[in-house]
Amino acid sequence: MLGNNSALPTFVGLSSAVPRQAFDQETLWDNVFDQWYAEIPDARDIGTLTRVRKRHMAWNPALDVGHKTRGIGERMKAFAGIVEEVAGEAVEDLLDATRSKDIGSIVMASSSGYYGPTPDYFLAKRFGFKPNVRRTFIGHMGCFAAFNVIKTAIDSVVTRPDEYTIGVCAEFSSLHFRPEASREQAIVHNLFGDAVGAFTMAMREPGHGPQILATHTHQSYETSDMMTLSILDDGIRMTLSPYVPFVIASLINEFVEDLCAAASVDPAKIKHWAIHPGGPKIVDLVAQKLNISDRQLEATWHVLSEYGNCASATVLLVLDHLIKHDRPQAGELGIMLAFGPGLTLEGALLRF
Amino acid sequence: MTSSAQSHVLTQVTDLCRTILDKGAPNIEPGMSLTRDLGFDSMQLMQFFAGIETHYPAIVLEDWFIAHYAGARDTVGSVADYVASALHQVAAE
Repeated sequence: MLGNNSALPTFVGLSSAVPRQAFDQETLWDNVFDQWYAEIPDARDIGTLTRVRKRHMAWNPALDVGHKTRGIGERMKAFAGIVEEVAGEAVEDLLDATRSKDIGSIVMASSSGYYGPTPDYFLAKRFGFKPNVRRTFIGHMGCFAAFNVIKTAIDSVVTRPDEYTIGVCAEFSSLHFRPEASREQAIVHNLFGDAVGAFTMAMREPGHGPQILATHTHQSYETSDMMTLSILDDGIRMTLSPYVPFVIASLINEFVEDLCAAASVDPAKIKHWAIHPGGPKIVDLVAQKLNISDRQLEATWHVLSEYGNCASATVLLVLDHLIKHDRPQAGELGIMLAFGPGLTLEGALLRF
Repeated sequence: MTSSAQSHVLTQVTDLCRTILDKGAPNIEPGMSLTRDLGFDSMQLMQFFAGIETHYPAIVLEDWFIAHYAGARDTVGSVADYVASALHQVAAE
């Protein structure tokens, strides 16, 4: 394992923010989904199967979508408005502890909205970042994009160890809800919520936050159709094969072994797990394969229940919750995992 | 593997699908896709895989679903063929 006192890329700050309006599953079904999915047998059961209790949403599907769908232009316009508000709140929280002038880079990801200059530009402007701040916007990678942000941030702080990097994952899937009466779309619309997860990263010795010991990626090239994000005239449409949990489960042990091997860590030493809850069956099967206890999954299940699958922001919300509630001890090890289109598996090995 | 043994596997796979679907099970044909035609979600797939494991403890379906998940190729018959072929291989080893 890497030297215990080494300065490593470290999450020195974590924050999150959500749109103000929130809906429980029952309200969504009463107000709109019962009508959208009237032709699907036992459709209402889907609301329970996802294990999502409540979600925050930029758009109220009953009022902002209703029976008629909306064009992609309207959806992108709504994204531009909400992303500045909610991502701004998350970044503002981070800047309580870090001065704007010390920010060298900002990296941002989203798979739910696009415009230019990209939202990171407006965040940098609003918070008075230096005119030479390095900006990167990562689009359309899907639920694992927090790791693209993290890895870009790692490169930044390793290269310029005196600077801080801000990472932001902003997802507003509710802006892409469409009244398409299929079981697959009903599952998607009962799973996804909106949130922003953000972090500040810097090179630090132990004691300043979770240090990143290693990252790992695996692309499964045989399964490219299993999860897709297509841009249609009336929104971004996600497809999700029911086989996804089984492919992830078939790959996860070797993936974790490879991730741990990169830092010469015994996988049996992992105490904390921040798993992207792509869906309940993914979490169940990954936990079963890796012998993760219910106690170790509390942060993962909590975020799924109270926020839904918030795409790239989710794993940052899980890590934030884990740190606040599980209170990992100094030196304990943890793993962050996320999955998405490809199928792609991403992970990071942490030392608290 | 004899054709009667293959037929037996197909019957068991079909019966397993019928059990999982419980009420309103359609007339299940070998060419039907588990997900597209029978509408299996991930929970039902879980039951299906567990059922196959119970009947045939030596058979792992990972290779089957990687090869058959797309384009509605995940048919009842393809599972039965895969299981029958795997059983034949196990018997030969």
